[in-house]
Amino acid sequence: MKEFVKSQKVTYNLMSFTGFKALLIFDMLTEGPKSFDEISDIIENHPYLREKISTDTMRVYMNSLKRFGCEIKRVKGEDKISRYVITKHPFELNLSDEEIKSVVKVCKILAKQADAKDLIYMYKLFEKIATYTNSEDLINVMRNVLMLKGISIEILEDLIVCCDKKQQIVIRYNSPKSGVKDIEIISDGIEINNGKIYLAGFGFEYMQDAIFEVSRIKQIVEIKDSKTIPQKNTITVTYELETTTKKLELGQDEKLIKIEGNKAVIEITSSNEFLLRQKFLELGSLCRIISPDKFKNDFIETLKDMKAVYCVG
Amino acid sequence: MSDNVVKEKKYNDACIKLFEFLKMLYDGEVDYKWVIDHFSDGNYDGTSNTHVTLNKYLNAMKIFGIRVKKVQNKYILQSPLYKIDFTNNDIKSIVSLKNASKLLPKGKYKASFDKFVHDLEIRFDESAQNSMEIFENAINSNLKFNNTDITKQIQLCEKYCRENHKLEIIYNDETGNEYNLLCSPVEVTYVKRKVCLKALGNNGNRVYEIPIELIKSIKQLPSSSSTKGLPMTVLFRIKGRLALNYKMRDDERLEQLEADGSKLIVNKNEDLNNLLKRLMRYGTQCEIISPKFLREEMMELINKTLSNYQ
Repeated sequence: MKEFVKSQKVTYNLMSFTGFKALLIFDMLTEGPKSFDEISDIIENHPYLREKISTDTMRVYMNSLKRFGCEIKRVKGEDKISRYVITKHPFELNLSDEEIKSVVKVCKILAKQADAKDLIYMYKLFEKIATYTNSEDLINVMRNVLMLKGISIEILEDLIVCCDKKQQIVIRYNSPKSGVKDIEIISDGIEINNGKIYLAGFGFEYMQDAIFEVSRIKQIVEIKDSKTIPQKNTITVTYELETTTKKLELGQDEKLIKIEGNKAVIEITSSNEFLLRQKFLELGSLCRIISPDKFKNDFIETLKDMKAVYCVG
Repeated sequence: MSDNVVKEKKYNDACIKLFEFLKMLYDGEVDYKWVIDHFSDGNYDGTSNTHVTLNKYLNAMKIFGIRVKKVQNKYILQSPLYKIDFTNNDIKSIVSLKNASKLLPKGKYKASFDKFVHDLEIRFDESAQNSMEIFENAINSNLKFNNTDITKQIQLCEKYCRENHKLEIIYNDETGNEYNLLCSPVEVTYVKRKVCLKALGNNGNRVYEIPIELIKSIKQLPSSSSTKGLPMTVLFRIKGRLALNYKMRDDERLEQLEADGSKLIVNKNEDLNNLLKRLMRYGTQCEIISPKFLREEMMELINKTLSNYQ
């Protein structure tokens, strides 16, 4: 071997030519269809081999590969020449049911912590693995686990780019309420909530912040060259939150006004009253809206309506 | 080249042996003894020249670009014959999966996952091998379970779940109130960015998902969790826009679609406190039907929230 490293010359004493040719033929046939002449040429011109091999010898190699477990198919091109290709072989990646189950379990852990980009990377990894394996279900299972069911990966990738640049775009959206329509928004970010992926941004239809389920976005119709500065109809709500100070985590639209004991007074600004109301409903008795009066009174009415549902039922 | 004949088809025995050896290397480490027996058809007596032949095959593999290392009488494949082209993003995902798998308890899942990673790594080309090394060193993920203290607690909770004894847990809620819970551990779950211990309460099989970071102490009791009880089932109705748009969770199913478009949803296995908060969000578009006590808890929660404004 030392001699080879020095001189780059291969002798029969150094290596098995049969072994080397077998490896070379395997490599050629997994790469794509080759005719006997093409294989012969490659071997003849190979710097370490430089020998002609007969068609009969070539058949012996192919029979050996078949016996090892390779599936070799003969294909005829437009030139009517027979070519051979390995379509299956024992080195292929084969995942057992146990392996798939364990991978799904780990993916479930990760999916809860990942952002949209990570989910796409993981999906693409499994898409690749699925093409190399016999596990046809793998990709469907992963779409579910990675929350990408019904989502066009290409659209999601484009949306991530739009959000990074905060671009003004027009999306074709299948609204559960009003059917398919075009909506113009300033894209802001991709959010994952309750197992669903949303596009967040400022919607021009209602002139407010909004979220759109990505699985309902059929197309990005247009990416605008310039951005309109929207006249946002925002609302600022002041509320009191019962909390342990070390656990207080404020959102990007929130401002801490003061903390007294275990109560924090916080100001939040949003252009979407619906999302704000949902936030306060979820906080329940831990929070008390201080102002503005109209929003507070509407909120109290909602609570009374909810109470009525339970009193009647 | 010695050829053999099977059904009039000639083949080369040594060639097959070489590929079989390679296949063994794909599956893991291969003993020298197995290899020498393999190439000598089990007739190696120490005097034949099988070891010389073996060296020639190993050299052929080496010159072809297949790297095989011999460590303590075992052959290990380092660079394979058949590779898969992995991108840097693929490798990043594999590293993230490997990190997350550290939380799996020892057992069949962990063994199967490790085999999966081995099966991928053995098909890396040189560039993927380099990337893997770089990302494994560089990725300082913000996942909670990369924190050593949390990891220890998670592994301890996994152990409790495996051992299946009743537990007495003292934990705080998010506002600092302390609770003492007698329960049967079920599993460690991952909710958003929180790692939780899921447990069934002793009374009524109420499901709890307690964030591990809020657990102050866990005492394992001698009594086992006998038969694991069935988690409680919750039935709720959603209507209007919510019913149109609602995506069911893993442990939910549609019980009934009503004429006005309302849907009756059956939920099980979700922490009831978390479920209450979630259903509160839906406002008047949602109503808990059963169990009765949860309906009452919802009513109490609404009243308590209303009392903030009186």
